[in-house]
Amino acid sequence: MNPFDFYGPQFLVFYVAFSIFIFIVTSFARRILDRSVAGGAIDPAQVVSDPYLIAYLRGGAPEAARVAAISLIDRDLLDVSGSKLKAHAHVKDDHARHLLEQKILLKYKTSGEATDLFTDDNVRNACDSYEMKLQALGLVPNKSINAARKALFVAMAGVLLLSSGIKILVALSRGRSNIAFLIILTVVAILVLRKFAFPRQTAMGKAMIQDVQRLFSGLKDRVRSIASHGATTELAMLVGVFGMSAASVTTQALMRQLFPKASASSSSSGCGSSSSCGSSCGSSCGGGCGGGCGGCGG
Amino acid sequence: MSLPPLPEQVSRALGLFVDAVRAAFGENLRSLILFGSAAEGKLRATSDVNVLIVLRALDRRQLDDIREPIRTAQAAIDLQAMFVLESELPAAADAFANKFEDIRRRHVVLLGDDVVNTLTISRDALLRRVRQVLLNQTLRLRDAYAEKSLREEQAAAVIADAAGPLRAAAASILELEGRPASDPKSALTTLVAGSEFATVLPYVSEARERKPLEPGVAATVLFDLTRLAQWMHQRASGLP
Repeated sequence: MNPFDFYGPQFLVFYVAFSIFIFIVTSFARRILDRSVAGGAIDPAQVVSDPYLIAYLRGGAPEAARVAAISLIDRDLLDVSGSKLKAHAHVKDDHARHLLEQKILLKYKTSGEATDLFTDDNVRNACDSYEMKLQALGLVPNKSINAARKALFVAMAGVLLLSSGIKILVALSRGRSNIAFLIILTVVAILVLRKFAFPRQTAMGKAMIQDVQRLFSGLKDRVRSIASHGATTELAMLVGVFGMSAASVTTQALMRQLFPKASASSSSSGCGSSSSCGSSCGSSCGGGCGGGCGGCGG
Repeated sequence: MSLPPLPEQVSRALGLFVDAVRAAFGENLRSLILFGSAAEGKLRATSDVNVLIVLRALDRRQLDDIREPIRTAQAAIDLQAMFVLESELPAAADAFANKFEDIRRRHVVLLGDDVVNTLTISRDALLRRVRQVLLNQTLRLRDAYAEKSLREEQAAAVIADAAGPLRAAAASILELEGRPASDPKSALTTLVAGSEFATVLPYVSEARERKPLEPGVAATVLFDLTRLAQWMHQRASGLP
């Protein structure tokens, strides 16, 4: 049975099934590549003490900035008025220890929309250190991982293109010209393949998130007893590790007020706003990762 | 270091903290001791994890190095740490005899030496402290009843928080009476056995598990606990 002899609709069904098979193979192969290029297991101690680093790993620069903002609000260093933020009058930017916090306090020396956080160059630059650290740990793709992923993507996309190309040639040689659906399907398959080949985190990054979430699972059970006004680092850890959806109803309402677009989409992805994603991906994915910002889509 | 049976995430977070303590204090660390319910392997979902860190001397830089790990462990497993200098141990054991008696009863050495087993806690100090703790509990519970018993959930939270000190005090009373109990929970059960307070204890356990009490129960239980603390204080006051 030669699939290239199938009639149009039959071949389209075959092509969908074949594409799914390719996606699965790509996903498995990409995980193996990630691990083999990045090396062995990573000690969670290198990640767990910084809620912004964990938030960045989960959702990129916008998520890290959101978590830092909520932490500063909780610590009474940032005041909220409607959808605007402003640093408390007596607060100087170096009252905060993290560079990201300092840049946020600097940004809101004068009152401004909370969502401006995502387009501020200083805030984005402060997040670059997180990107570099995570790349060094192999938790987000670095140059070598990206190169390996690209090679895999090219190979798998080649298989998809080759099979639809052969079918198109066969169809044309038999005098048929109804190939538009196959071309559309091929483009869609390549786009989907890109998602499978270039997720934002590496396999180790995904495993690290699950590991850290297991480690902090008790914190989720204590949401109601988390001390406010920055008495502990629990709120920052909670939203850093699990996303805004894990926070108390009050905190979630505040986040909806400040970041309505982000809250409307999945908070665990942390990339609800397409505008904020766009801005973060530029800096975090750098050269040539192509679909490396796929994780921001959801 | 052999840990008691603990939930996986607790042993892992505790392991990370132990590594951080070792790295931060090095030779200056005399002992790192796990105490309380975690040391007994009886940790509940809502329990905190208590550790005693005994140092030879205080060095600010070393203390700075433990700041991040301690906040992380606090977030992960509700870790509560007590820093004591080795030279302060006898005075601390005297001033907080009830606490240190509880630590001595239920502890696991995670790093260094067992400096708690060799501590001398005088009967006078223990008696004085138990009376003090129970009087404090009586006053606080009375206040909490007036302020919070109109709200079932707030009353239940007060009941849950009061259980620990009352159980530890019960263990100390039995110790002073020469009939030590195996653990603080059974000490309180033994102490109130046959009294009007025996029926209150199941509700206390429920509140500790953060289970909702039956409507209308929390206020009565809280008032009974206030009376129980007073009763225990009188009993401790009657001890020679």
